Parts: sequence; structure tokens; C-alpha cells
Amino acid sequence: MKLGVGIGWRAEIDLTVERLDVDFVEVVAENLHVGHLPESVLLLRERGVPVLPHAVSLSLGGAEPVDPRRVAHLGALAEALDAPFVSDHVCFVRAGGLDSGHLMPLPRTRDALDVLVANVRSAQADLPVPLALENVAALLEWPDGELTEGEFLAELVERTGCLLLVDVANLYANARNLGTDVDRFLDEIPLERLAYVHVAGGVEHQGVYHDTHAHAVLPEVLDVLARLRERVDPPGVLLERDDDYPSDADLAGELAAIRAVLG
Amino acid sequence: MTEPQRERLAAAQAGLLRALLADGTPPAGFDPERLRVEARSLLNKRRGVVAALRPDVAAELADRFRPLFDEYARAHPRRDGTRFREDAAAFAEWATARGELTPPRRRRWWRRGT
Amino acid sequence: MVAASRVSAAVNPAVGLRAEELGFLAGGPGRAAEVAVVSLLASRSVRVSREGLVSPVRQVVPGTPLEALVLRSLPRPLGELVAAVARGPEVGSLRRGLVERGLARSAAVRSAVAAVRVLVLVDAFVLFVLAMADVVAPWVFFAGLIASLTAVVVLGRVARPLTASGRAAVRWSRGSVTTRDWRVLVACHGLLGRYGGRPVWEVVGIARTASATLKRRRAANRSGGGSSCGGCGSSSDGGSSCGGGDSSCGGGCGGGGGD
Repeated sequence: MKLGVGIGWRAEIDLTVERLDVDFVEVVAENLHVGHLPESVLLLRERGVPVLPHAVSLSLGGAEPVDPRRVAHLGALAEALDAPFVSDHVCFVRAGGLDSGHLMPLPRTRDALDVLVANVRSAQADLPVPLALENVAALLEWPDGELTEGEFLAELVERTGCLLLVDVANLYANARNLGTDVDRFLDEIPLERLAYVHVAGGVEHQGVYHDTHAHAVLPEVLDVLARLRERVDPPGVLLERDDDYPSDADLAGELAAIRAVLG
Repeated sequence: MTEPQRERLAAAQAGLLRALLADGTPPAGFDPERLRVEARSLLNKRRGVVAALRPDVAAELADRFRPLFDEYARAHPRRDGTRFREDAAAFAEWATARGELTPPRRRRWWRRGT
Repeated sequence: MVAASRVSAAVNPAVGLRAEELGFLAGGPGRAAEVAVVSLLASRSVRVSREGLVSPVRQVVPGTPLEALVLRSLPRPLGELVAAVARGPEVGSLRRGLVERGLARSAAVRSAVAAVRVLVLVDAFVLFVLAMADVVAPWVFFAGLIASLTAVVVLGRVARPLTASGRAAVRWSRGSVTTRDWRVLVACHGLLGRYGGRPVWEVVGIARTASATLKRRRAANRSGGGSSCGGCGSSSDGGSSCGGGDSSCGGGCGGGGGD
């Protein structure tokens, strides 16, 4: 399914998103109620713009089984928006009674992969549409990793049949912060299972790259997108901006830069 | 089927979050500097969300918002199941109890509107 | 920026009046707050979403103390923002400036005059009781009544929030409104007012659903603040369907940064 170039729909910039005339948008599933969807989202749907629900709270890589209510909400949203698929992350959010409020990286061990696969299968069983899973940005590395990130994701896809949502900014962050080999990552993952791609901005602080979604997209991130483009023509590429929203013109400029890389 | 794996993973993940959010002992094998960076980043994100949910609180506390919130956050890591809105309200209550924030004004029945 | 926001004309009783001050004269503290928001909107320093959420666009330099207060109060729904800014101390100093220039009356003068009015009415009532008890002659009562009513009307005019020159400034400015200067337009008519057959909110590019947050403010009368549903999602955070443990708000995938 060809999606084109899109942007993350956010309540603050709803009118901007409508004006930017993008090919598709993504909504954060946890911020919407199926019963009363924002007027702007409904308007985009009326225009025929695909709206893809993106979840951040399933904690699929967490040690506990997935909360069926969260999966049900995501599924209901997919049906209400007539979305071709939904997504969440390869991460954990909660553990030991604490909520990190963020997408925490998983240990790349066989144990973690087994639990992740079981959780993903259980979520897939309750979802009406295919599930795509996204690589996250990490600031720290778990000890005793048994697989590279690419191998970890490839095996996840193989065992669950899920789709991939590749975030090139997260990949850049891991290359910068953890020494992940970008080309090896892109060679190891099954790009034929690529649903779409995320691009986002961030900032470097004291030698560490922070994937903030509140800064401009770095040329280095667009370079990772270019390296992905050398291997595959991605079905869709989506710009994520979550805070410190710039002017409409600046956002249009970032979308144009993405289009230029895609050629 | 995945019970033993889940148990080992649960212990590892809980240990990491305790270290990052609740001043727990740093788990073995992690770079202590990166643990510090990650803890800082999680705190910044939490503070940012609370500031966005309660701009009135952030504006009233001004320069004191950041140190006060950081103190509150360390003592009150966000429990699984609490919403950010509840977190923001709990912080406002905490700061009010400490005398840092003026309590919300009670409206008197004889004072209308303005 | 500031110079541009002043109402200017040759024979203008409103000369030197900033748009926020004009708004205060024409519609009170809420109107002044609306002018500050619209001024930032006109310079594309803030955006107002379809649902009424006001958020900053980066690199914003406030032109007035009221605008600075608006920016400090973001993100917030429009109606709530206007109510919060109207309560701010900055509006108090705006009022003081207008009182000093003889355009508005101070709250102290107004409440003193109001107290005198009550006294006059009590007087008239006492006279009435005395007349009924035949202590005073009917003509004394009627004379007293006429005097009291005259005093009440006169004092009523004095108790009005604006002085004669304040009212003249507003009248003059209403005649000079165009759709080009949103600040003067909003100052004179308010976002919920109409101009040229259209609602003012529509003229300044605010969506209908966003303008409805202003109506709610008006209907609900200002509440004590802090009950807000701030900048997180369009309706509320999380979604009841998510079982109460949502981990994210307002996007959520990005990191917190390192500073």
C-alpha cells in the first residue's frame, strides 16, 4: 500500500496539518477517544487521507502480558478510522509497579525476544488489522546482548509476521549513542515487511543524541533515510513533531526535504 | 510457556526502572554515566508534560518549578496506572502543602463573577 | 510593533491608546486579554487549533506585558486562556494607567459612589416610612423622593467604569475599525462580536469549535483556575478505554532531552 509523505497529527497543529496537504497522517492512539474523534481527524478522513493509529503504551516488550483493554482500544480506533494497520514499539514502558513514561529499550536477549514474541502474538490475535512495530531510540545499552538490533527485529518479524515501522531518527540515535551499524541494521531487517518510515528531529547534548521530536530534523537523519532509500522505495515516510511546533512554513520545509531524499 | 523468561525479564526491567526513577541501586553491567543521562532525560520528559498540563502551576513557580518538580519526582516515581494529569495534580498539591504555591481561591457566595 | 498597535488619527480622542487598553475600555479585562492573544496570532507567534488549543510558535518576543503573560500561560484552550489572562496582575496595571489618564474610573471611586447610592436609597426609604407615619408632610416626601432619584441617576453615571473621555475614545475607535487591524477590531467588538456581517472570530481565522471555548467561559463564569485540560490531546489524556495507565501525553515517542 502506497502512503506517500505524511506528518504526525497533533491537537496543537491540527489546522496546520490540514493545510500542509499531506498524503497520510498518524495519530497517537492513547490521545483519542473512539466515541468522539477530533473534528480535524474526521475531516481528514472525509478527504480520503489515511489516518494510522500509533500506540505508545502497549509495552509489548514488558515482562507482563499485554493489557487487553489497551489492545481493544487500538483495534477499535483502527476500525473507526478505517486504518490499514496499527503500530506500537519494540520496547517496554512499565515494570515493577513503575511507569517510565517513555519507550524503554529491551535487552537483546533470547529471553526478551521470547516474551516479546508471545506478547505480540497475543496482541495480533485481538487486532482487526496488521500490527507494525517500530525500533526505538536508546540512550543506554543493556549488558549481555545476544543479538544485534537488526537480528532481533528480523527474528521478531519471522516469528510473528508483524510489519516493520523503521524510525530512521531512532536508528541514527542508536548509531550515535550505542554504535549501531546503520548499514548492517538496514541489511539485516526484512525491508519487504516495511510498513512505513518515521523521521524526527532531535538534538545533541554533551555527546549524546536526544531524539526529542521537538527540534529540527538533522541532515544526518536524512542521510540515514537516503541509505534506506538506496535499498527500498518505502511505502510511506512520516514526519513526527511532538513539541515546540515551528511555523507552518518550517514544517512544510521539512516535508519537502524528505520528499527530496525520496526522489 | 514463557514463564521463566518473563520472571527473569521482569526482575531485570524492574531493577532498571528503580534505578532510573526511584534512586535504586544501579543494576550491574550498565554504564553509570548513561544511566544518569537516561534518568535525567526521563525526568525532563515528565517535567515537560506536567508543565504543559498545568501552565498555571509552572508560571506561578517560575524559576522554582524545575528544582521543586525534580525534588517531588524523585520522592514520588510515577506508579503504573497513574495518569499524567493525576501526576500534575499531585505535584500541585505537594507544592501547595509546602507553601510554595498559593492554594486555589475559594469563591465566596457574595462575590459574583469577577 | 508597539507603535503599530496604537490607534492613530488626526482628531482622535483615542490617540496614544494601545489596542489592549482600547479593548479594556470597550469590553473589560477579558477583552484586553483577547486583544493580546489576537495580536500574537496576527504575528504568527501562536497558533489556535481547531479545538481551541493555543500553543506557541517558536521564537516569540512578546510586545506587551499582557502578551508575555499569554505566552507564559501556554498551552491552554482559548476560553480558559482568556479568562486566566484577564485575572492576571498585568490587567490591573493596564487599568491603573487608564485611570491615571482619566479614561477609566478606579475601582475605589466606583465602590465609594455605589455606597453613596445605597445611602441615598436608604434615605428615601426612611422618608417614606416617616411620611406613612404622618411625621412629615406628603410634599416633603415627594420632594425628597425626586431629589433621591435624581441623585441615584447622577451617581449611576459617575459609577460607570469609563469616564466621558473614555467613552468618547471607544466611540471614536468603533468608527475606525477595519478587518485589516485585527487588534482594533477585536478590541472594539470582541471575538464573539460581529463585524461586517461575520463573527469576529471568523475574520481572524479562528475555527468555530475554538470560538465555542469562549462561549463556555462566558456561560460558566470564571472559575478558580487550575481545573484545566491543558495541552494534552484534544479531549483529555489517555482515554478511558485505555484502562487508566496511559504512558504518554501529547505525542509521546520523543525523549526528554538532555539539558
